[in-house]
Amino acid sequence: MKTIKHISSLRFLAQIVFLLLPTSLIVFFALWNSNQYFSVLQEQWKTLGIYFSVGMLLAFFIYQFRLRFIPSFCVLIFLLFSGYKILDNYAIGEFDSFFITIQYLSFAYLFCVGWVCGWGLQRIRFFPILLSSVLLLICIIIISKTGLLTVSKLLQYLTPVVLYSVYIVYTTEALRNKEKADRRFWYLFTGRLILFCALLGMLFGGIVYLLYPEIQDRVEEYGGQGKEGENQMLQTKKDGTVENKESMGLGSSNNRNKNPEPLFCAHIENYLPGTEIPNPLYLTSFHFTKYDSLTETFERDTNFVYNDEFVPDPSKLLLYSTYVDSSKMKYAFGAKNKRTVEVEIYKKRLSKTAFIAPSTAFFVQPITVEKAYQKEFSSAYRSKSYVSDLNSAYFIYNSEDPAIRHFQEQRFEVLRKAKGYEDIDQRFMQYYTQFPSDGKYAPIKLLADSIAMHKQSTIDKILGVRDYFLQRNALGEKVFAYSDNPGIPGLPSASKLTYFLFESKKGYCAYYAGATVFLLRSMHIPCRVVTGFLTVDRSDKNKGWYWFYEDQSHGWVQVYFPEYGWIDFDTTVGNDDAQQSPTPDGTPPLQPPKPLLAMSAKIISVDTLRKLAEIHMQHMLYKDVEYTQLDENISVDVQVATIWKDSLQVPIQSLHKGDDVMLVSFAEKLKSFKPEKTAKELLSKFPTPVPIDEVYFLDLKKEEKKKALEKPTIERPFTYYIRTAFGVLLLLFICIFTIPFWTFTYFKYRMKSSKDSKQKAYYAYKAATFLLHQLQVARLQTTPLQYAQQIVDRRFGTQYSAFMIVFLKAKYANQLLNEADKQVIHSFYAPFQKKVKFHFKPFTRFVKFLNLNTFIHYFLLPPPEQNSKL
Amino acid sequence: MIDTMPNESVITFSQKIEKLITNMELVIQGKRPQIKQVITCLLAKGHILMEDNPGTGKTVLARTLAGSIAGEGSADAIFKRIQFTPDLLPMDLLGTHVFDDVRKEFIFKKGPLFCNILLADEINRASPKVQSALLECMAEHQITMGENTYALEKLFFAIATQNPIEMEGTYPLPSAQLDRFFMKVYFGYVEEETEIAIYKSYIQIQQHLEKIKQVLSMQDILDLQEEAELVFVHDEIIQSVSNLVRATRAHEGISVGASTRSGITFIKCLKANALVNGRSFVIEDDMQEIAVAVLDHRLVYKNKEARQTVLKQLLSREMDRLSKLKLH
Repeated sequence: MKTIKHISSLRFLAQIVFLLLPTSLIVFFALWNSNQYFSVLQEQWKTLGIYFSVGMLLAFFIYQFRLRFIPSFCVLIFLLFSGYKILDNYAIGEFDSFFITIQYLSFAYLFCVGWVCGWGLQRIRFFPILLSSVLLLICIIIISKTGLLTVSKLLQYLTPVVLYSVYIVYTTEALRNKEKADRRFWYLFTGRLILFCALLGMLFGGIVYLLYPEIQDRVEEYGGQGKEGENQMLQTKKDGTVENKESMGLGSSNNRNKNPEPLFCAHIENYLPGTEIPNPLYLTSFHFTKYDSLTETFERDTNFVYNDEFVPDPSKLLLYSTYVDSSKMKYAFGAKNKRTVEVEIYKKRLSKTAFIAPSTAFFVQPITVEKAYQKEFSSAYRSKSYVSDLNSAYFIYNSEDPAIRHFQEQRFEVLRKAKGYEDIDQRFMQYYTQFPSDGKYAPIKLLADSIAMHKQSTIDKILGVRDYFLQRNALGEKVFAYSDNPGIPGLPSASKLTYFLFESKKGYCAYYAGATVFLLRSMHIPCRVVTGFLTVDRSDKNKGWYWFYEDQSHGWVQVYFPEYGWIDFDTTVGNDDAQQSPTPDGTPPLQPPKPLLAMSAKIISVDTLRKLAEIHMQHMLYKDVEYTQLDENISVDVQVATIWKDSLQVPIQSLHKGDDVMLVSFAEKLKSFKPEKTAKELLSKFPTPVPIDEVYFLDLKKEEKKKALEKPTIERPFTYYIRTAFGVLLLLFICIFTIPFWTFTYFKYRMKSSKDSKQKAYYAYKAATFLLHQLQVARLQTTPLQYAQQIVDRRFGTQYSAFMIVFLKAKYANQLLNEADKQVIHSFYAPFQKKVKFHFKPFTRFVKFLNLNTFIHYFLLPPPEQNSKL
Repeated sequence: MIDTMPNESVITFSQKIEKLITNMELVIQGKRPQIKQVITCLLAKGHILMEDNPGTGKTVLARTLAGSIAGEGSADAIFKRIQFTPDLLPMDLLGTHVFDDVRKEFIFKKGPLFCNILLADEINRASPKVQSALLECMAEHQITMGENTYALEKLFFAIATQNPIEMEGTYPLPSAQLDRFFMKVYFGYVEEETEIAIYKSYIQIQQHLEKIKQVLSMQDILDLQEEAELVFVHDEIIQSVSNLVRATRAHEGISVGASTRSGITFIKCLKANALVNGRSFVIEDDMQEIAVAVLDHRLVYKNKEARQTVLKQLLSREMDRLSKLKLH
């Protein structure tokens, strides 16, 4: 009897360690994985995982006892449901209630799922098989949701689940069959388990190692580039905003979302020289210089130093502060035909962090959106780029427009005279002409050779490629067509590019750009793919204003010409469906006046009567010239200034000493000066006090707080949550497992503190029985008195039965206790405990006191009529 | 002090009981629980039915008890033994009217029932007529013959035995009549060691049985019976008795549960048992000791399995309830 109990507790512990812990971990893993694909989980996978684990642990524990699943589960559901109803009624505020309800629901679902798992693991023999098949199914769904599937990703998803599946089935059975466990239970069992896991790992690893090429083929075949219906150029971020993807894949289809809401609106002052025709400045987001032949994706590469990329995050810059970086530009622009173009971008649905500008940008400055337009436009910035007059990507588009055609011809003429690549840095040439040596791209090389035949200059070769795409067959039909659904090649391992070039001859921009880059690189012309947005002149209602929609995301090619820099060429053939504005263009926002002077400063004192202020200036911008790390005190005139706090206009009284503000001035008085070398010189020329037109509060502390708040949530690694979950579980375990000890202590305390002898006898009895019960001194079917006489006193040599007689007298008799009885009660417990404890090793006692199973049985009433069926 | 009074009297009474038990144990070895149960029945003013295989010592026990109380003197208990056979008539028990030649009238010749301790051996072999006559006397404590009513002795204790295996030629007692017995005791075989000891000393045992000493007078027994009535029963014990009795009525495995009379009998037996154990109050151990003996023969079970388990389960539930109670 005793030994069986001992083993059952050991088994319980083993089940927790070997079954529940791995299950928890795998669920954490599954949640973490699915979190990347289902925003429903709202980044809460760790909380959800904890809900699940707690549910499972509780159920596992509870279903050890005689409980029927269906009624108890119904009770649980009922409790959760009433909790939900209560929450629904009492949560204050609509948003709060919604939020809390969602939280609660996710808790309830996960808890229930955990509950079912715990129950299954406890009661149902074949549950692990079911569990692992469900997990595998989830895993497969996740894999199917993965856009860019690679072998490593596949293995990353699949390995833990597969290993877990085999592990859990084995371990459950092993634990079940371990009927006669002894002291070496842990040693033997753990050893066997480790051996099994090692074998399993070796087997799995071996299979993967041997079959790696085949797996790779399969992944290439079916994983490919994302799923049907995915936009290959854009990605939607979690907050609903949109930005260019950081890779450009060749998918079987490109779902151009026909969302009629514009992404952003840009003001570009750039026309073809001497005309009113807008120079089609293509707005660039990213450069793709590398091609991954495995996934057939064009990728960004920041390893090459002079990649001309200027990718700031406008949302991180202070209002009106500027960020200039031209350190990466070496080849971006030649000396000839260079010009600076200014662009203002007003973002609507475009991500706040995204930066797009004509190639090649070097300057960004966040600007305000006029108050009336703040609802429509979330943020705005101003950027400057160096562009070449020759840079016009209307290469195939609009090529029938005579003005453009004329301009293009002129442009080609100029470029024909451009220098060759002889003097160019070999490293640069090598980098921009690299080409996968894979045999399947060999036909492209042959095609390139045939196109480049008899053509001398670079531009002629490029024109050759253009003409190749524009060629018509004998019937006068276009050979190459635009299609958002180019399909995939029949042969799985074939390249999509060769399929496009030689078989299907239809594709979207990524195909044309990719093919062009391949062709040009095989002709040894340095080029790269860029993505961004393509402007189309849709109306001349508002000159210089352009509206951008999702379907205008685009990819094209840049070719390097010595002396002229990178020139855009768009080889995508015209798409008759696209380029139609889904909605008429809206009203462009009122452009805020360009600030002459912008200063970030701390207020020293404010004179609200005369509307003057003393400021300590740290940073100043005058006519786009920046002065940093300043330490100047000047006085400013805020008589006409409007003061903005967030998007609210506030009176001058709200300016206080110590506030951080941005002061902006458009004053005529300041126009006449030229930027000086130092701020001091400049300031000495300014009129005092300096007239200010706008004041913006800079809530630096708030920003810092925000950062401080964001930081921990962002930077916590996966292991942190594992550790937290583990810690919480551990704490829970400790709390639960020390309950017997605290109960025992409580009885002893009540015994010591009782004044009344009967009370004292009762708690002494309680403490004694609890101690004996927890130490598993079996009582069998005896009454307490028989137990004392026949079992306890015989085994431990205690005076328990003498005490019991007195106790029973106190309990059942109508007599008062006499002095002798009281003496028995008083002197009973201490020697009793000593003698009993003497018979057990401290460690045994400790382990037995951890046994919750025994503990619960102490309080259980006998099971109600077991043979009620008779 | 008031509370010590019953204690002291209990001590003297328990000494007497202890003396009785010790005396009986000279003959009956290894049967202390059964001896105690018999004495409990005696003190509860009830009757006892002993059932088991022949040769387990039922008759010897009855004889020993009688010998320990009964003596030669007029104030001593009278012991009678009747061997029940199928041809036994009620008259043989009760007595009969015989014609007195001298007085020229019928006089009543008392039967063996007019005694203090009656051993009714193999009761189930007699015809139902005889059985019911005996049982009626046990219940009524009197005999009615024609127009006259004769009271039995003030101390009248019947020990009936029956053999379970003798199915042929027996008339099983109806359950309604079984109710008249306070307890039904299964005798059982003794343990191996005791049995060997018995074999070794059977001659002495035989001698002891023949020369059994009287240790208590009839008055002592009557006093003890009165004392047993004074034993205190806690309300929770009464609650438990009620729970147990009611549970037998509601249980699915039992077709006829225990009656209220059974409950009263149970409490009487509990009191007597407490006294036998030297206490002036009833505790749960008393219940544990006698519950099965008191209740089992009153219940009609639906099947064999229920017979073996149900009562024990119900009892252990009550025992657990009591042991966990906090009473003050």
